Amino acid sequence: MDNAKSDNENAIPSAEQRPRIRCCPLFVQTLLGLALWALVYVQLDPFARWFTYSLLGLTEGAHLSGAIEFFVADAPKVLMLLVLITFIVGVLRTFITPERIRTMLAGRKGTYGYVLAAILGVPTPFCSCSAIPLFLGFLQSGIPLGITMSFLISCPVVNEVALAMLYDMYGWKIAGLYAGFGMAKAVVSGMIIARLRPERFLEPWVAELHSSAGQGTGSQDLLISTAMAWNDRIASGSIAVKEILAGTWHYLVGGIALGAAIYGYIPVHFVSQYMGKEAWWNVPVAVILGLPLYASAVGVIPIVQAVLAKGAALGTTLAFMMSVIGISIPELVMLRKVIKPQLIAIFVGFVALGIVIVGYIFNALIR
Amino acid sequence: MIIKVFVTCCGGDKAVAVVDEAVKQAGVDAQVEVVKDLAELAKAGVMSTPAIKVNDRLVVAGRVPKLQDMVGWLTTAAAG
Repeated sequence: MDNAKSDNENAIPSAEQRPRIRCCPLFVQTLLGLALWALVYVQLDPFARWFTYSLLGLTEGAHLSGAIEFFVADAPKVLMLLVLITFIVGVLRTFITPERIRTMLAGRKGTYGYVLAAILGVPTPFCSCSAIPLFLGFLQSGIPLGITMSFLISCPVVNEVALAMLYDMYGWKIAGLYAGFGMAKAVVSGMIIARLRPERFLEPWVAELHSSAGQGTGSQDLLISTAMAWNDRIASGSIAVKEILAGTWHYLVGGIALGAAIYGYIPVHFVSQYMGKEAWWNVPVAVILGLPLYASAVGVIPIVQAVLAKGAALGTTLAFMMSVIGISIPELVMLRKVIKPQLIAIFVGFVALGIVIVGYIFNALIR
Repeated sequence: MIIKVFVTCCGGDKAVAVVDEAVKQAGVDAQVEVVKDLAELAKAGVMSTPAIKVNDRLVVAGRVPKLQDMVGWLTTAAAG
């Protein structure tokens, strides 16, 4: 209380300055929210059982009751994980701003630079709006194109939604393995791309920007990264959650409907024949089909869960999901403004190859 | 005073709306310019959008600012 009072008395009007006392309600709110989240999450399984067998009075083992239990428990569970991860990543992002990443990567040339780029790429969203300014900013500050590509590949290949699903269904070891493979792949791809002399595939004005690198814009970094209070950081987390829910609810409805239809009407032998482990060709096919498609993660999850429950192989399903979420045509159209088609092809090729490899690895690992 | 709003797509319209409203509330004489050109974006050192420059000084990047913050920045810029 005293703290807030003295702040008011000094009365220096500044947008960034906030009395400490105002932080607490939001902080408490966040804690309460997290506690509520945990409570609901833990109760979902018992609730689904109660809902299906006690309230609706369905018999255990029947087809319909399985489907209902599945959609009351599993789909909300992964969506809740998605919300939590989105929140945490949203808060993290206020620390790992593009400007900061640039500062961290500038001047790194060896393996360390690639590894760092791959790690930093994971929590960074790769959408058509953020990718281009980021790309240009990296090149402008003299970060090698290979390292920049490692970063760009790591974004769609290591996907936080896939991480949430894997953690939910198979535990942290498999989820960790997925993240590890994805990052290793981004590092190796970046190193290979660096050897292809990729600079020749930049649009002329971008190449000029890259070669005249290092003409200071660095002083602005401090301003942005220090200007945020904890309130704002937590608020960014909530905004990220709101955006993913409000902006994508139609995907969610469509996804659940389609997932339910798959669960109810598509026979198991059909799914396991085409999406099972025995069909070795289905991983690349899933990626080729998935790349031009785009859907939000929240819409893909119910479909993916239904298909998995019907006996589809994990690797194949993951590959399809990652290619649907990861790359979209509008993104590539935006990229075309700064790089030539050859480099776009190389980029898409490496992302696709990475997803295929992840798919095969998981088909081999999980029964 | 010259205000430049750098947009690509996410939140661009919102950022422009906040700036317009803030200009009204702060009562400053400002020329608001919306920049969509990528080359100009890069030259300005903007790495995340929406970003706002007031008199060539970057005040925010990568998010839509709160109205009260924006008014504060404009008032400070007008005073300085």
